[in-house]
Amino acid sequence: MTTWKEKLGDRIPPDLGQEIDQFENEIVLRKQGKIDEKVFMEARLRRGVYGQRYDNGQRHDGQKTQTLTYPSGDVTKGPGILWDAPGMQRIKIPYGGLNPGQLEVLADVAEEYGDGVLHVTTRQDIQLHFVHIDETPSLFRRLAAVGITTREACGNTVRNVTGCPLAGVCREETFDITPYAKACSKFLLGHKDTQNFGRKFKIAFSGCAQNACGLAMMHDIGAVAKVKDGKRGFEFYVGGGLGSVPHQAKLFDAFVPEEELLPLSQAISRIFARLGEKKNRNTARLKFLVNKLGIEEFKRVVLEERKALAPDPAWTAFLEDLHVTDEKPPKAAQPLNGQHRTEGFETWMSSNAYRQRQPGYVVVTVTLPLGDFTSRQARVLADLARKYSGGHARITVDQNFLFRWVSEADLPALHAELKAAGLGEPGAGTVVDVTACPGTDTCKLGISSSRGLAAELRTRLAARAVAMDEAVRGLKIKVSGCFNSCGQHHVADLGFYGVSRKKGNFTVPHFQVLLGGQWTENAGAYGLAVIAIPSKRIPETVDRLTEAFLRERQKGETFQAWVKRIGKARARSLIEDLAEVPARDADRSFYSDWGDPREYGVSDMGVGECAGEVVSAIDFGLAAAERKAFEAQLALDAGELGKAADTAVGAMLHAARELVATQLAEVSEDPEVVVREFRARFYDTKLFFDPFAGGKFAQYLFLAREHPATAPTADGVHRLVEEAQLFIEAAHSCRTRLPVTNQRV
Amino acid sequence: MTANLQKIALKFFVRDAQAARLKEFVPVFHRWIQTRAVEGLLIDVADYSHLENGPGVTLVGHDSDYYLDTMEGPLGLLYTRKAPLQGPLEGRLRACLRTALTACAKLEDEPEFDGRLRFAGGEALFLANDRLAAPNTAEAFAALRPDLSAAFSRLYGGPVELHREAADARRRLAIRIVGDPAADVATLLRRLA
Repeated sequence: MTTWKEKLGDRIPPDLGQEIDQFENEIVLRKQGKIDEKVFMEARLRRGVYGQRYDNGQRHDGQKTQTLTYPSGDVTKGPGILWDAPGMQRIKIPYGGLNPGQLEVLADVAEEYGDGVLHVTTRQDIQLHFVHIDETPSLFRRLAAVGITTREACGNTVRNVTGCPLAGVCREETFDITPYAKACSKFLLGHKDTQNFGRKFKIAFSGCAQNACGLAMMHDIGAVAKVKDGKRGFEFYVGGGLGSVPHQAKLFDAFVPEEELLPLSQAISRIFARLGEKKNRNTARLKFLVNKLGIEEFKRVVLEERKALAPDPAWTAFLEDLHVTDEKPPKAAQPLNGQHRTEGFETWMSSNAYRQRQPGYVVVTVTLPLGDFTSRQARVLADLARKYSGGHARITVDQNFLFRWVSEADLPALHAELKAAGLGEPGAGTVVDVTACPGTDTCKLGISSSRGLAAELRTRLAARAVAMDEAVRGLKIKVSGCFNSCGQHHVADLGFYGVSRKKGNFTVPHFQVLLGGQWTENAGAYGLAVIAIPSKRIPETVDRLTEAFLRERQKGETFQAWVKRIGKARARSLIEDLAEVPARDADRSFYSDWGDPREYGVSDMGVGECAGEVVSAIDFGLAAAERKAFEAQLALDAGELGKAADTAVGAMLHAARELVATQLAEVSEDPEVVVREFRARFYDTKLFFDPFAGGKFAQYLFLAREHPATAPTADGVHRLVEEAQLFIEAAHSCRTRLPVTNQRV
Repeated sequence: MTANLQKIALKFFVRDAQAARLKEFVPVFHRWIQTRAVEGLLIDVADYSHLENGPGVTLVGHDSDYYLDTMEGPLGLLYTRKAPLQGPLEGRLRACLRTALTACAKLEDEPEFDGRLRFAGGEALFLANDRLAAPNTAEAFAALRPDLSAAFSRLYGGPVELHREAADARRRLAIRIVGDPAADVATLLRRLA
């Protein structure tokens, strides 16, 4: 029987072909038990072969936990991860650049190995879901034949290098970052100095400082185009990142000349590999190393390393032809003038078309609902790219698709063809265009249904979009299924991340509401959680906040500025009553999540009659801890850094004490005693451990107690407040896992 | 090559596409997982109802997936086989037909639809979900024709028409099978018994 390997032959680049062969052999060896499961797990992650929800063979069906009995039995592809369990395949698309041939192959593999849907991520990757690992070598070969690799899409590696999707056509950019992003991606892919990281490493390029398209400030390396004395280079940032506790990147150098881009990145990689944390993955990102050393010391060791590097011709070879990524328009530009226009064209054009720097040409955004498009639509997009944009397309960090170089005169025809394919929705970049990570749909870490909520918000907001005030239309909503921020909730006007809360014996899906985030200026500020609201009341939360904003805003005031002016306490008071959860008998809808009719968390059922009172005691205590965390945030906003830091630590202590009280009748108020008891009863026993993050959240308390901030900075206290909130979330989770006998009476 | 085809997909269309909304299938499929209502290991439900002309609502299994699909024509149940089956192609086709039609029959009986949901038994769509084993070519169509004719003739109790849908060569090999226009799901299942 012919195989894809035979059929594609030398269309597969030799280096990629060899790598895929190697992975195919590793699959065979793992099935034979000849490779350790942990080693194999890292090997597959480095090829973008990721786990998916229920891959441990257990799934709660709403009534009971079912064991998924796969034919391969207990063969695993990682600790506790069953071989046959379907997984997610992440596919790197450097700077989001795609051509029609690649789109067509992506469509084919989505149909044959996935479920026919392609999902665009917030880092310009494409993900396929429900893929069997045995099919991945064929999938890789077909992608390799059109110049796509999945290598280092996951794992402790340099992930997809992202870039502003308007690069080269933007009216405001300093210069086109495309050739630099491409060179950086190619240079670091499989580089020997990037193979020994303790954690993932993300790089982003931005063509300007003021817009958000590149999100440079939230990356391990963020390079912002800059010209100095007529010479090209980059404002160079390091140590940014979202995750559970976001860090703003630090300025490494106000100007790094273009020829230093790759050697400096290499030197940073070497320092990260050498000095970065390896044992505790929770503190292994570059941001922790930069924090630990301080930016000046970090810079010193990196520059020292840079001096010691052996010269590599690849550092500057790409500079010899920076036009290699230049694009040619398919036709001469013609003005939009009298062509027949389909219904909805003007609305669509106002939100989905952007005039390029080059006169007469337009960038068209195709709004992808929840970042999804079908294999059929992928082929339509390929056809339209050939017809209207010279084959130039990109995917974006807000999960959309772009055509570039569209002649203005072609806009009505393009809109009509997009509409026919179900892709003509307006609203790109507006409040309707909600960003969401996969959440509980497919992600193992998901707590609440981010996609379910995003779909609901999208439907409701789209129905009102036409009549919506401009000030609200321009807001950004971003949703993550958990605190890890894959939906980038920290940099939205209205950010949400999934949490859970107990009501009686039942667990109720909630979202934390984050305010104060900033999308512009490359993600210039991070929002903080103000209150947890039941999932089913988030649409009402959005309505309340946006209506109040419209009522109260001053002329020209942004949402972020409005929140700052009225203060978080007032903002919280606008929605506080929505936090109330009705009893299950009164309204069952609160006890399941958006888009999922299963009862949420019913495994916690089955306790005695007095459990309601038992539960309320600790819930009351944890709510008090949350209030303290919020007070810390208010103090931070008021610039009272010392008070904010003390209150944040106090909030963690309060939550810890509440947990200890479930085991001890009398608990001292002395912080030392609380921490000691908490450590012995909840940390050493791992009762407090998150299933995936382990003891990370407890460490926040221990570190805050062991190393109190003597001269607190705004950045440091911001993180501490975030950590306090996460500690309390972990306390809530821990409380739901506690055996009934451990509940306080 | 075509004789090796394992990734068989079959679609039966709903008579009245307005009879049910896609979202209505979500709780039904979750219940099917609870009760293990159809054969094979069932894993999860994926809701793609936000995509126009897409895979709709999907019941994901290990051996097979069940889609309430609008990507391959109007609303219908698209059954896609993933795990290999034993035996010759005609037998594998018949096995897939039986499983797909059993799912159709169960859907028709689900209380949510209150008797509104009926599948049109007289026509089916076959898809080869494997471009290596069965590319979208006239040769592959010719090679598959005998097995398809045999399997579907038995299903319809007489000769059938096979039409290759070749509008876009990039798409999967798709063959429309036209049989007895009066056939309903129950009749078809009896013939396969």
